[in-house]
Amino acid sequence: MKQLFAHEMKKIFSNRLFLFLLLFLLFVDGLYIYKTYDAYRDPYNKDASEAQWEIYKTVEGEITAEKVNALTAMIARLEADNAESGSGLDPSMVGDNAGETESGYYYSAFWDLTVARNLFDKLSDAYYYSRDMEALLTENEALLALYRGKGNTALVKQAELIAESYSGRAITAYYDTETYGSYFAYDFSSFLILLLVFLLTAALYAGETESGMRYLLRSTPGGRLRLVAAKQCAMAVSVTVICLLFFVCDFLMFLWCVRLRGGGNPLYSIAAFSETPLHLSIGGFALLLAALKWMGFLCFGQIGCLFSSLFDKSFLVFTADLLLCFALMLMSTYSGGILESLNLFNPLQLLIGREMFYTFRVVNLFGTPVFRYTVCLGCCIGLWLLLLGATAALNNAGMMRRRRSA
Amino acid sequence: MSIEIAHITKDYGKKRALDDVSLQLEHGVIGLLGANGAGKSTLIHILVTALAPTRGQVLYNGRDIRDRRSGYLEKLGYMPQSPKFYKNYTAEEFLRYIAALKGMKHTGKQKIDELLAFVNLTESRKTKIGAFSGGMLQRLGIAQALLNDPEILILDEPTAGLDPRERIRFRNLVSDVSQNRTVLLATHIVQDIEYIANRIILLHEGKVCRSDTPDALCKEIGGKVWVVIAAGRDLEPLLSQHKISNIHREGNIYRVRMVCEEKPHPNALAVTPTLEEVFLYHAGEVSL
Repeated sequence: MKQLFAHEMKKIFSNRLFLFLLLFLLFVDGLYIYKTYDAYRDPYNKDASEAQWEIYKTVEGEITAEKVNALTAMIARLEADNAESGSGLDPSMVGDNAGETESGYYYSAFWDLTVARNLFDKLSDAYYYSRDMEALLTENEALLALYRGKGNTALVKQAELIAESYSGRAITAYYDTETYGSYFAYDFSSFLILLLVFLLTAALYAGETESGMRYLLRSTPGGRLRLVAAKQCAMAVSVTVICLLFFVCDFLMFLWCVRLRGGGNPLYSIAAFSETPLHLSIGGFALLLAALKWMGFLCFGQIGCLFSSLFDKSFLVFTADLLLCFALMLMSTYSGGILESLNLFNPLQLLIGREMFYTFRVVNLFGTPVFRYTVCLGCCIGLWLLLLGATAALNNAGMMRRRRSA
Repeated sequence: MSIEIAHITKDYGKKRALDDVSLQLEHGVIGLLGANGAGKSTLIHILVTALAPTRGQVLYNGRDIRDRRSGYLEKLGYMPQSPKFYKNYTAEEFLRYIAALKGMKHTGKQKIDELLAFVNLTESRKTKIGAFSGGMLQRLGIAQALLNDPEILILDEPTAGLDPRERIRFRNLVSDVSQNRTVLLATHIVQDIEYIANRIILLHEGKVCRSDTPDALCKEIGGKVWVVIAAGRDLEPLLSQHKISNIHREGNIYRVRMVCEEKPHPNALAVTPTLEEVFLYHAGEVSL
């Protein structure tokens, strides 16, 4: 089995076209991130960014009264400066006094004021987050009492879950976590990984027919279940390697381009995730998201394996994979009705998994509310196992399309 | 060791590829001769367990091969039709892979060396298969089939696409390996088996129409093969009425060999039939 697995890995990674594409797409991915997110390419943005970071340094970390006071004092000072000069909105007039501004980088005190106010708002949001959550919990408490009174068990359970999910929350440290928001919303690499997964799986079984090996393999003692097991393991390992390469590339490029800060902060410190029911750090969520994506890619890999067992030509498998992927993309854009339920089995949901964590979204399973991401993950694992079984059955029992022999 | 094919029928939808085929396979080279589409590959795919018959069974030492598939396949060597194998593998790597598939945990370098030497591929052991000629591929195919020292060796159209020199070389190779084992060689090329087969099975439209030694098959149609010397103007009626096995032109005179039940021409001479003419007689066509 080990030998067969090693040979399957060799078959995949000795394909020069595949290796070339893997490296090329990694390069494309890195370049895309650089072009899209790197603020330093534009001198105007560079200065703006540096100015922001200078002020940001004064408030980064644990939220303390001193920091809040210092920022408040800075804003007051800048407001006074701006009132005196009255020239804040005209960048052409303020090029010579950069050294005199608060950040020491940018042209005008007006910019510094804007940055400082922006930071103050974020700091304030973080500081008052626990108060907002308490308000939400109080409201939920009232609803819970109402539901209990009405005897609506499902809604009672849901309200209890809300209470459990949102209690005891506080943001004690401030970091510019919005860059993580951009990182989590980045999908281009998923598209590239999908292409590679489809390319990899297209030839996994169909390639044996193309090389005239299918009947020879089936005539050997290990040419059925053992071979399917080896191929499946090789597929899973290869998909994992591809995912890891792209995940690391994405992370390093984002780290370089947008300075990912505050990975230890809770996930809800990112504005988009302020209502997430998850109790995870941002770093932990990044790992969870990577694991969900990996599961999604495995599902797509398994779909590719099934098609590869059904068709004799790799390009037909690849085409079928792409068509199905587009159909799933369309499906994922619909919500409500039967498609909403069907989307639970859509592996594409795992690739854009962050959307399931934005707000409190549950599925009512036999009267018990279960988080949508948990159900979706369970459904996709079930789908993957089903596809795996179908692939093994097709290749083991010889149920694949029977071709007329000469 | 005995292999018995018992009443095998194979249908592809409404098309019947094999129709109640029953055979006994013994030691030595057995030629499975039939035109394209006669059902040779279907029969072979059933023998190597890649396809299941619609009806009937294959018995190995008296037991259905589906009941003891693994044990049966351990005794089997199979070379598929027109193999391309893996372009990125070397000959040596490929043999190691097949050894792993055959469950041979400790395939020694020595065994692989021996086989590569046997099929004259020692110098190409590190060459990528993508750079192999058709003849080299066929020889590698034989080497992989012999890896487990099989009792039953099945070769599907092994000389398709080979030049005459490679075909002769391949025939000699098959002759060498046929001792103490059953070699079933499926082909539509008569010369492939004419000199090396102990028995020939003629398959036509999914049915076994004859199964005997080459000599016996030739004797069977004794007195039905004729040579006629004819001028050009007399040729047309002969060609349209009889199965022609050969035409040889000498100036304006044609020497025509044909197969027919009765004397086709007053000047016709009965000659000794060849295996090609046996094939022509039963299958109605011949591939040269």
